[in-house]
Amino acid sequence: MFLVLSNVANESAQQLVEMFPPGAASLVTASNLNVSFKAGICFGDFSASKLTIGGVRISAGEISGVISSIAYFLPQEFYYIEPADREYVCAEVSAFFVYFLSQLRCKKLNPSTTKTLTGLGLHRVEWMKAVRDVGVPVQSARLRNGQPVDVGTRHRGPLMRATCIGGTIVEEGIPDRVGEHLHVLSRAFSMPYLCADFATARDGEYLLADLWSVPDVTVPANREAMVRFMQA
Amino acid sequence: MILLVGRIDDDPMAMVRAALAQARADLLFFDHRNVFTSEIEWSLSASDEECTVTVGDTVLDMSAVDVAYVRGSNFFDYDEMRGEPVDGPLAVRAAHFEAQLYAWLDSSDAVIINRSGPSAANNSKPYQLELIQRAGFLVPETFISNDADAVREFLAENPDTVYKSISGVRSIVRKLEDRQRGFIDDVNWCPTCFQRVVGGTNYRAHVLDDRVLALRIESDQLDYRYGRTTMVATELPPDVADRCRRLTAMLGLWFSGIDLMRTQRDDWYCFEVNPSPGYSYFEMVSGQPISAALAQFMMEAEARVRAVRPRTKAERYNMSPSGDALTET
Repeated sequence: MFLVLSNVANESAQQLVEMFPPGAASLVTASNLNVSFKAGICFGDFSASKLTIGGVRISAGEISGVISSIAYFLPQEFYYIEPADREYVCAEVSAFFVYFLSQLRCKKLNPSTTKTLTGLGLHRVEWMKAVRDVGVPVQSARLRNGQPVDVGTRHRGPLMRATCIGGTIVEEGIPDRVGEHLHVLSRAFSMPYLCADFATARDGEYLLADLWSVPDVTVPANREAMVRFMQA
Repeated sequence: MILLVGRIDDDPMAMVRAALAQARADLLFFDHRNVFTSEIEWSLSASDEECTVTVGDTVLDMSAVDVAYVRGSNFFDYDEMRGEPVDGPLAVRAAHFEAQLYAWLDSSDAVIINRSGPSAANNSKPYQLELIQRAGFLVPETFISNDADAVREFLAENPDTVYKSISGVRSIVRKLEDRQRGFIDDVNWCPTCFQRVVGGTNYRAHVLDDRVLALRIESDQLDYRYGRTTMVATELPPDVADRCRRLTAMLGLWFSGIDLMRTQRDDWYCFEVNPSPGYSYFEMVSGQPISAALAQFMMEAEARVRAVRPRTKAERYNMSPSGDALTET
């Protein structure tokens, strides 16, 4: 069983589920959690824990992969809960999934952290420093109260977007050097999904300008690469 | 320099600030209430990084920070937010300021008590419980579920059970009585944590890097925070103290508050670790000088960091001698 964790408004997530063989994948959202996902987790014996996902009863060990297109649940997604209780329920469900995802021994796009359901969960300040520390060149940046401040254009041409999914670059025609940078980052962060914008410096080097680690399932080519990665 | 980030009406912050001031520490206090008006600016290039925080006329070069003690606070509770939309410009500005400040602290080479990533393990109790077990403590039999039928099965085998929140949201730990059993279907709407009751004596350990300050606790309530409670300073057995140190280190924390239970068979259970301990309650009840120990730890850490750090920017901050937002003590 493959799990796709998303929100109810993301129609691409349902399309992703339908790209797997019938019954092989299931969509889990906060909005359908009370009917789509039931769990009884025995601490210390996780793989034997009983789950009912999309009406099918399985053990946790039978989950073969997770694709999550959301880093967080939002209180408003729990529309079926009394408004005054939504924040609490959201915190509880999030805490549950942080543990649940951390215990699954399967392919994950992307792994969760203590802060997020998927991806790095890092502020730009943090990931830019981490990227620089692993030797990938970054574009100079300035942030004031979270907002980018123009530091002047030091690159030529438009930004180039590249996506790495399970070691494969999704877009065609991406320069090898950009692919190398993405592979370095994917390994350094242990994130099989990374999407990045690169600028081209005047000396021809590619500088990282932006980075996303929450899988984007709205791009058809990404969905195809995700299914291939999960089924490989 | 030691930076304190929090609110002066927060007892743990006020007590350590007083202890640091008494010890004449090189200290700066950032009042968290200034998140609406303060400014943080950060820049990164191939060879350099700079970060400044501005409160009024006062500018702090963040590279001067050797140690920071951070006590999180919810700005939505402040008077400034009364009548303001939660996604309005004031809230967005404060959220961006706060996020950038914490991100800088988390990624700096200063001693941060405590960084937000490691602290976040406390937001998922079962996740933290996994680490507690790895550190060598026993943990109570635990069942987490949003399936009422599965919960009934667990309770049939474990009738003596408490229930509590899974997240870091504070909840009163209560024994499951007949009255609550009538509401078991409610877990279908919200996953809940059930734990078999462990009997014994409560202990609380505050760990400051290698130092362990322990208390033995007697109370007339299961959750001693809500009962008539006495606390006595005590020494933990060396192997238990070692487990506390190991657990704190595994969680990536400098300072922790660990809830322990010693059974009559001398087994040691650990229930949870607080990464931002409200130690003031324990100090006020027991008289144990935790704030002084925390202040001492910060001053020693500051000396260690200063000894190894390049100090090229250390003195480049301006201080406002009378400012109450960013105050030199």
